[in-house]
Amino acid sequence: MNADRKAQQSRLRRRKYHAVDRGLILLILTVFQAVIAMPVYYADNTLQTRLALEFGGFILFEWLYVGIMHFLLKKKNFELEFIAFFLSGIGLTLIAASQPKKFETQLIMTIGGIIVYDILLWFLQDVKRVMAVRFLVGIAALGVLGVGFLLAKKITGNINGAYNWIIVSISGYRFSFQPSEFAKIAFVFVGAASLDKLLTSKNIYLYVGFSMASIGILCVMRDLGAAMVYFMTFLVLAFLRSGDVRSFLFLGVSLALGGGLGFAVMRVLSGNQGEKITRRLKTYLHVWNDPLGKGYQQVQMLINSAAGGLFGVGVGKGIGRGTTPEGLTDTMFGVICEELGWIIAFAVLATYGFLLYYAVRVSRSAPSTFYSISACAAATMLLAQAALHVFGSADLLPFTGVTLPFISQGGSSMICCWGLLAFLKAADIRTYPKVFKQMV
Amino acid sequence: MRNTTKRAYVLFALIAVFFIGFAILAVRFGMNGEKWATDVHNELLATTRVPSLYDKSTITDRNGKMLFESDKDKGHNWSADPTIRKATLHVVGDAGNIGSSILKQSKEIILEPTYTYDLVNGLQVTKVQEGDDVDRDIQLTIDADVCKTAYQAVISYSAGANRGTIMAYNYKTGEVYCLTSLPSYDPKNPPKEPESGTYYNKALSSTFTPGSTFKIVTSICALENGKADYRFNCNGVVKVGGRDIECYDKTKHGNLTIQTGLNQSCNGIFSQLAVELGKEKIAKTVNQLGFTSTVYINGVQTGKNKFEIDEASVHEVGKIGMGQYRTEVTPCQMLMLMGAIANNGKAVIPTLIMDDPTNGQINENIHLNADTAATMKTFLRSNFTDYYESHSSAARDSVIKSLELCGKTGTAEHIDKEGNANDKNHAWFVGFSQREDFPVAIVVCLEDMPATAASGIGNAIPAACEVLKAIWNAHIVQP
Repeated sequence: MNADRKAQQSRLRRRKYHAVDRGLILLILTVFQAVIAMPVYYADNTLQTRLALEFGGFILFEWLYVGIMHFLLKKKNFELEFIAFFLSGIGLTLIAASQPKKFETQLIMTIGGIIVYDILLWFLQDVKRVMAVRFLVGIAALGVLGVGFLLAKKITGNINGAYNWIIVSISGYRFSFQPSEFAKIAFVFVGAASLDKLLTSKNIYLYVGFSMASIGILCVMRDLGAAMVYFMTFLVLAFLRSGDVRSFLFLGVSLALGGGLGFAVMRVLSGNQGEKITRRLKTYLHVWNDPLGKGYQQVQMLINSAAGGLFGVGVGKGIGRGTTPEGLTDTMFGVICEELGWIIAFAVLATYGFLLYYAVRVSRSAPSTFYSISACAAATMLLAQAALHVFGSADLLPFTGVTLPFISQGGSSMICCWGLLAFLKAADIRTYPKVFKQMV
Repeated sequence: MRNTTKRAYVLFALIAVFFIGFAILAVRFGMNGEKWATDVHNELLATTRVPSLYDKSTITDRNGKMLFESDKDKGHNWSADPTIRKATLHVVGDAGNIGSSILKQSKEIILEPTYTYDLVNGLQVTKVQEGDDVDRDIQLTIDADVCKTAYQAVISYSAGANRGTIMAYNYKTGEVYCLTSLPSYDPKNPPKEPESGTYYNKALSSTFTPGSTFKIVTSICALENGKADYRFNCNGVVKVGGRDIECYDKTKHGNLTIQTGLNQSCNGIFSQLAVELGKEKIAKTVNQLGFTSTVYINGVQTGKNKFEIDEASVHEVGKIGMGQYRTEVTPCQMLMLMGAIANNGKAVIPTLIMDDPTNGQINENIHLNADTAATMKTFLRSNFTDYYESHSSAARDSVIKSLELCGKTGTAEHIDKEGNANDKNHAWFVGFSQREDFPVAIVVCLEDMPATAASGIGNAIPAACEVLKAIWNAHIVQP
């Protein structure tokens, strides 16, 4: 143990970057963002003032954020923020190319996400506080899901076969909320917090009950994509914690949950409801058999992605964004392939893999099991969602219409992604030097 | 703590799986990239097709009358008669707004864009340049003057609605003599804000509640399921599934057979018949008559008919039997059904282009027994001799009488997306001439007429008769 700690401390010392390094990375990021967004703010050989100001504002915000964190709050590491800036910048650029209004909403939501991220980071530094509120958060999460479902059913109605959207218009700007997105943060939070204190079997039952209820509500909403992401995260949480006898219990419950999920899917498949989802699942691996009907979105995604080549056809010049109404959400990865090319698209994919790698690495030295588990669970959630999005739209997995983290157009998804990122950040020993010192 | 961190390394397996998926995707792009990017469903290639920008190309009607021509120097031009331009717009097309038109779709006249593909640059599309030295001429099967008559008939008989379609074809050869769709516009001056539905070819692409014309389907179902001798006593109102179904004006039709039921278009008999036949048999007949499939007409897919019965209550099955509920059909589908009844059960697919290699194809989705077709023909003939001729002066016209028409009218309540009827009705007529030397079938659908004015007998039959007379007088039919 002692040797371990020494190694950690030496690593800490070695990691003392100079501000210049971070400045350089940010500069490269700025150049990248300014270049890819050029066709947007300099369209038709004229400067689009409003868009240029908004993009400039976003880049300035990045500099200010890193600057304040670095010089005033003495923060040293910004890997995660840079990744999120990189991904959000790509999303913002692609959205701005054809949907300037939605771009503005997305921009506001990105900044909202960063605020949520920092509030969460502040909150997470006290493990006692985390433990104290976990029941409350659990109940709130179920409340958000349940009430969200009822509101979605009442206000918005069925969208693409599911009741997972609440849509409100405020002075021309359309804000849409997905309760299942906000509950994701709580799911990881409650999961990691209650598993950290798994001392009594009562605790286990409560937690398993919570998970089953959450996933159950998602199945009732027919938001199968989210249900699958939650389930994957539940498995990882359970796996990370399971040791002795409990592992068997967990395995059993996991299987039961899996079976329940399967059953729900079967219900959807055989029932008259949720036709759109049913169609999507039935089409799995057969999209080319019905390129104009059931397989339309996936076929268009593959056609247009393939047309992009290594370097893409240019931002805003693709047709994939317009062929389906969900072009910038459900098949956003296809738009990246088509307009920015496969190199950037695969770089984007690699970053999701890196996030989980990062989580595993930092969880080794995290000051508490809560941080380790929550970081791994949050990163798994992001990776699982990216996998469902990318491989689903490319017909390697069933197409469930989930968003691509940080990139797809959608406010609640953006806020949720930043919220999940806070768990990764919190597990990094460099984030809370004081907490770490106390623990040591 | 330590166990947890050790276990966390297993998550690397998850990352590995993710990257394997990633690799599979990359390999698939590499291997299938060209095939995918150049697939026929690539909408970029579809929208980059250039219509008729050749040196000299013409589209003419069956008599050689110019409907469209393009010239390198003079540009595009359409018929000199503005009514013909409007009446033939949905067949001929304009600068590209009418998706199903010849100008937009025909392989004869479209130059496909050229493209190159490689994995580095992706798909590079080059538009065909104007002035490429090619001549292409297309002769259509339509008669421009008959189309004009049909266009004017829709306007005269639709009580100001000015919406709808008339399509007539030779049920032995498939040649379409007349196809007009309203609202239309002058391709020389396309409107900035067209009325809703303007760009649709209503005969081929739009679907409408069929109303009483669907009683033909219910009748066929009865004939093929041993209920040819069905009897029903109509009191003007009948309870079906606990709720009333009324005949028009609550007329008491008395003792009815299927034939006399069709004559007077009794709602009671056909809703009761549908319930007694049951969902399964109705659905089977609907499927066998091709309502659940589409066909391609010169490369353009017809609209998808709507038919739902699985969830319907008993009352709703009754409604289906009389052509209401959620059923919607393309006029072209009804026309092909007429073709099948007239032509011993074989429906020839309509064609708009003379000498197209696909001409004369049979619609394999329609399976109609020749005996049933013959019985239906006598029923539909009896509609004219025993009912329409005494109720419609247009049907009593000497020329029309000589054409020995068979057919069925309908007045359909327009059912909106929420399933409610509004105050608009469609007036329908579907029918054909049974004369060997005049094998013409016709469909008339006058869309969204004011409910008080809409009537199959009062509006659709006179419109159909005018068009059939025009076809007869033009001497264009070669049996």
